[in-house]
Amino acid sequence: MSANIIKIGPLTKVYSDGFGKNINLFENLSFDVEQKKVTVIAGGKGLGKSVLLQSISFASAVKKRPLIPTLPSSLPWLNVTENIEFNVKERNKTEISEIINFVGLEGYNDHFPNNKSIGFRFRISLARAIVNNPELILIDDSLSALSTKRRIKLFSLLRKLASDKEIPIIYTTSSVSDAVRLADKVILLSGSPAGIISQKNIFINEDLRSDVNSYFNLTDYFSEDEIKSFAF
Amino acid sequence: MSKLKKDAKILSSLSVTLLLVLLYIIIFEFTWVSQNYIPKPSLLLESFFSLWSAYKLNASLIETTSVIFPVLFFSVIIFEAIQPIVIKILFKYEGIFNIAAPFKYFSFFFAALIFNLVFPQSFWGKILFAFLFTMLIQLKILFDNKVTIKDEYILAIKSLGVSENKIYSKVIWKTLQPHYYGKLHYVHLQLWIAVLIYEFISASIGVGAVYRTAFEFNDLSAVIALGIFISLIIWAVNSILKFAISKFIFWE
Repeated sequence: MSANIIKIGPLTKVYSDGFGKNINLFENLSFDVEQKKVTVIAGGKGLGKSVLLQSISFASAVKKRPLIPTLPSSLPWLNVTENIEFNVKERNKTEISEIINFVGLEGYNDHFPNNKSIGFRFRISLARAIVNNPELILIDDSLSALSTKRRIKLFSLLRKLASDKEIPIIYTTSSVSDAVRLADKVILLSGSPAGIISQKNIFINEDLRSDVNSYFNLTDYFSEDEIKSFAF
Repeated sequence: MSKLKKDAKILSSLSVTLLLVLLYIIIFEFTWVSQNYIPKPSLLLESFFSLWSAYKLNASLIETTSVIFPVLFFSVIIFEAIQPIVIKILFKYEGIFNIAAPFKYFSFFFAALIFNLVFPQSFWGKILFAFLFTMLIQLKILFDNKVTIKDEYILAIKSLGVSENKIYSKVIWKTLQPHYYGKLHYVHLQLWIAVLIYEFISASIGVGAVYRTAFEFNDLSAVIALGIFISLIIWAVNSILKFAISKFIFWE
């Protein structure tokens, strides 16, 4: 196995429907994540993408795989710096302030996240994840509630994080255009139990990705059936 | 709530109270003098002073407050100290609370009766009763506010490899803290009621026992005067509690 590849899985998730019947959410799901790359797991709602991310996060007991859930997870009783340093024992101040600058929170060190925007709180969660020296970062469609402009800005930040800090990212979404804009690789999930129906590498110019007005022809990447399997 | 709205609310409740007092004085002191059902304001004032002389309220008040305030104070301190254990039981062993289900309709009045029988005329029996009562109310407040804990906080922090105990004390407790301290004035009020009932049953010493004596003497004006006085104490302490909590505890 190459050092640049992180092997995920095989992962299986079974839950009870409460009437004695077991339901397989996904079974023996496995895929590879490349270093310095953003992998997007895409598919319709209710497929179990969030549960899949949780399974990936808690599958490794040794290496940290921080998860940023859909709803803001920065702790409202701690300020920006305290939130970021929550689980940090030894990390020098310069390094932390460099991470704060990287995520765009410079000058907000003593601000509290409550009453702040989703984007602001996402940046805190992202910085907290980076500070913990993660093997990879898992993001559960945390930016879907943002406006297109803000979302694209944060997508650029995520791509910069993956390439500059060499931390691979797994992001889930149910939006096909978001998947194409953000991903180096899109893993398309469908069916019940959920399975991988296709994996595509996406090669798009960075300027085009960060341009709000750019339009991607989705049929260049996916078949009609694959596009239909998304929930828009 | 904005400060302006809060001030307006305080002003309006204060003006309503003053208006009611004024109406009470006008109607029962000067207008409808012939009636004998509701005590006149002047009689209430007289009864208030007689509480100190005839009913020896000083000693009783010292007895009752020396139960209520230390119990309230120490129960909060103890709760803060043992909160990781309490939270762990509350979340990990939720089923343990099913044991308490049969006692759901068991009024604390019966508990006061039983304690009075087991510890007759005992100051420490009263302390124990008040302490257990307070702890149970506080547990119930936490239990009722379990729904306010956000899964995303726990999920995100857990994924950072944070220990379970740290999650209990640094995330879950912190989330519950505003609800816990926000209800402390309610705990204080309930504690007064419980201790007064306890003392009423025991009929030994304490404000509850003063109530009983006034009740036995059919002294309606003393009962009302004492009621107003105790309400004022509860209101004053609750105001101090709310002020202190808003200044020192609430991160919001």
